[in-house]
Amino acid sequence: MDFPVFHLDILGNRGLIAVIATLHVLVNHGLAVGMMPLVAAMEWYGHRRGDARWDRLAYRILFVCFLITTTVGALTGVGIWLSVSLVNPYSIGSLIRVFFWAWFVEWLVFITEVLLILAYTLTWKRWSTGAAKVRHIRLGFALAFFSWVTMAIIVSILGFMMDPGNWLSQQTLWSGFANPIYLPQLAFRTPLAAAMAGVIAMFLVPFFVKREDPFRATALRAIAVWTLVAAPLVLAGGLWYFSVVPEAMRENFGVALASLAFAEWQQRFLEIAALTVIAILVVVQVAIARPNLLPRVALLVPFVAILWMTGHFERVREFVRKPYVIGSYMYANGFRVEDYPLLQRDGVLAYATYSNPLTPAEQAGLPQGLSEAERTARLAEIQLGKDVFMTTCSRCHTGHGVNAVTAHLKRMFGDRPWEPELTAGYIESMHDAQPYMPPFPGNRRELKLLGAYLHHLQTNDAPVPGAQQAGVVVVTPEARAAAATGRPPATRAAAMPRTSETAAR
Amino acid sequence: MSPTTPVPHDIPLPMPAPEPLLVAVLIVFFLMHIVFVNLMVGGALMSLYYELRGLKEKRYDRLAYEIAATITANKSIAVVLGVGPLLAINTLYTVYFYTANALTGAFWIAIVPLVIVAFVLTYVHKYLWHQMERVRWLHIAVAAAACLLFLFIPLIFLTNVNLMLFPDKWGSVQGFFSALALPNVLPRYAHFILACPAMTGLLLVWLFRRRPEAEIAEMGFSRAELVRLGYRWAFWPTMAQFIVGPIAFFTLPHVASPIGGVIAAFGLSFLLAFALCVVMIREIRGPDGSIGRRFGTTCALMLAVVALMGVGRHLYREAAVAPHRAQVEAKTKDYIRRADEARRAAQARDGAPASVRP
Amino acid sequence: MLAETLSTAGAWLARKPSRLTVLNALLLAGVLAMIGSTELFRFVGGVAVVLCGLAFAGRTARRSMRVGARAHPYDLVVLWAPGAIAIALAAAALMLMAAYPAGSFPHLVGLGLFVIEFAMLALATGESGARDLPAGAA
Repeated sequence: MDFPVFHLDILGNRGLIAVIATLHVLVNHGLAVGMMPLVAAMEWYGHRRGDARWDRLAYRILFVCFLITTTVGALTGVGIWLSVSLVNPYSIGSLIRVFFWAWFVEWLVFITEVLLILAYTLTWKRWSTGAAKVRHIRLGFALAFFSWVTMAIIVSILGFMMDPGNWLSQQTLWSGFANPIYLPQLAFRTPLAAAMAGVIAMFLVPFFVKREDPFRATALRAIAVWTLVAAPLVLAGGLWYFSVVPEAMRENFGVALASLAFAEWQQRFLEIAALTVIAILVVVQVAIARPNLLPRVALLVPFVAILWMTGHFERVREFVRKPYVIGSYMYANGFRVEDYPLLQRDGVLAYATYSNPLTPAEQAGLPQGLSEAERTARLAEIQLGKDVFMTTCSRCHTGHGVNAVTAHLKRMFGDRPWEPELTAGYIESMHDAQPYMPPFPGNRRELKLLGAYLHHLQTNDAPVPGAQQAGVVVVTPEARAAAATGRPPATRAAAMPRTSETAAR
Repeated sequence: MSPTTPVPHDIPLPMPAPEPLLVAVLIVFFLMHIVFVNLMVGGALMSLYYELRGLKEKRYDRLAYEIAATITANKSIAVVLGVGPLLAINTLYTVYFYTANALTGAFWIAIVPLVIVAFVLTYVHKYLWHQMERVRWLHIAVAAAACLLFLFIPLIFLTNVNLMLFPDKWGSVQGFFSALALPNVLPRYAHFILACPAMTGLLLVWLFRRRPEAEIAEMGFSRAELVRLGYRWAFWPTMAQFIVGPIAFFTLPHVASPIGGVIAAFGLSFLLAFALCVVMIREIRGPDGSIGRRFGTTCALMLAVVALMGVGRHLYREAAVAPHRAQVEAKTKDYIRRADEARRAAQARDGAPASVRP
Repeated sequence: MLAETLSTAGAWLARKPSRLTVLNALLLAGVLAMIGSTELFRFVGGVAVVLCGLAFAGRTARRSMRVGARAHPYDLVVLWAPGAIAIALAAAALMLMAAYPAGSFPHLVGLGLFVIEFAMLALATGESGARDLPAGAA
């Protein structure tokens, strides 16, 4: 749209967000939201029983959490933001304007959480007896509470992106919170975090308590019971979530298609969830019945299963909100639904401020035997086609990497030439057959240009650079006029703005 | 404004809060953030410096450890205080900030892994200090690597906040390094880097001014020695700022709007910085017994200098983008008007909400 | 030679009663798997699980009663969990095997799970006759 287009052609833009976000969810759920109550509970239990071993173990586990949450956890949290604002500035920019106060409050809670974890970790040794110890335990539970509140606020924003509920008509912050997916999501994530923390804690115990020490069995058994309590709640929360999703999807596209797509997702989710719960139960069972026989490697199984399930669960967010990025307000390509009539009439290029210059590598692969004039005209067309691609497709698709347009075209049309008419015809009605795809936002001429670019991609497999690499060229009014009317541009500089003038700078 | 200056349209949603409030959040929390960043970077650099000196004289090694112990808490606070200003700058300067981010995207996103690595290294440096005594060279290498990262990361931020101010450069930068080469980035960077030891010097004064005598003695220093050392770290870099600061100011690109307020803010902070230096030199030259008495005054003056810098910085930013922002606003309005028109036309034609292709 | 190996194996098995229990469970599952009839597997396996489960439940209930009102819920969970999980998962394994054709991956997973869980159940039942709470549960 109207920002320079950041683009990663190998990993894909969503890949970048996915890597950062998955890491963050893992650290946040497993080591903060789920683990802090467990650590505080251990400390409390040790204090009540006068058993210093619990205290030592709790501190060591906390220290690991402290190291990871204040590095990877905190930075990937900021990183989600940085990556989303690179990849989809329109959606995050819009969300911030609606959800500013939610994020602001979330930030205050985040400050509290960081200060609490600093205080909790750094005062552990100093506040170790009598009233100070009691105060310290309270601090632990406060930390656990605030970790959970941070998650509870963020989940509302996630829920909102899937299903803005009444926001479209009311445009208030509260309507986002009250959206129908909110509570089920929270009910799923909370026990999930507890179960993850349990599995991670069981993994850590053998590092901190020697095999000969009978306390190892005691600790493993207790943490196993904690995990066991969480496991059925994960299932219950998952099923609840699961039951509200079709309703949310129905608002975005037709019932039949929704249920078809949903059935597939449902089947998969059920399988993974069953596997996860089984893996957790087996581990818990062994940890209770034969704690000393529990191999550390075995704990990786439920852990990976949980990650897999979480990943699949997070994917449903994309699934539900497609073809929108903000339900019924903004499509995944970053264009507002209400801008479509304008753009489909005048074209997206008419309102684009930047052009994405072709690199020399991208200019290769033209047919042999073109005259210089033909070559120039062809390149000018491809340049405009690339600009259409970058503004309308590149938020989700790459040229040749993950989720590549070329891969989709190859699947559909094979190796026969991807004539512009062929691809343009498909793209024009694509959203009817593929309800996850937004309608093409540009006009008919731009469809043709896009077709010409896609045809070029069939013979050119150079990676498509983003603005972070190749920079942008500011579209002059002259070039814009040429792009809008389809007349051949008056000068080469206008259509192919990557000229000696800009290159020399 | 030249014809190659891009005028994009903004996100067509109203501001979520009154602008002065957002500006207040931006300035106040950004300054708090930057003070902790100064403490973190300065702490890392000084810890490395004293660890190297400690190879010959053991007591400096203990001092290095004391400094290293402060970094980990400061860095956590620095990160969390940075989020609020980030939120505010996202909201207030959406077009400017996101554009600069995208144009330097690879390095901008590299901030995440780079900071993680830097933080892990500082943890290793602090928590394995005694375990790594046998492999001193490795321990020093860890500190040096962390320092290099800490020196590089601010450059990415500075490049971004500098690039965002100059829309006429957006069409000509290609990636991070060309944005780094814009005038004024490096003088501002020098200005920032010099502030790091200065702030950390004051932190040292604060740390050792009231510490129990026994602990001080254990380190092998006298209290006055440590406090004076802190003041010296604060004094000399601040003196250097009298040269670097004006260079940073005079290399600021010319802007069309009046910058009287900017000059006033920076001028006043110049005077206050002078007063600050006078107070510090009197502390340093004073007798051992009374050293540290004027610490409150010193901090108040430093705070005032920093606050005025923040205000001046904001006023300049506003002056730099104001004319362009007016154009962006006009264009956004025009865009919304056209979109509304087209939508009504489509509705009149089809009699249906026009969210699907005609 | 063979006799020697057998006697060593026998001695190894006899050293801990749990080893024999596990071997018996393995043998039962092995025989059932070799017969190759899912129906039969389901029937015989099901009956075995029910019988073993009843024995476990009966003994553990008696044990819980012995601990009486003093018992903390935590101790009761530790008493009941291994067997109860084993019953549930063994049943789930049988269902999994019935739902998928023999030789398919889920069927094999079900088979493996059944073997593990049946052995766990047998062990839990064996141990539920003990007089004391398991070590560390107190």
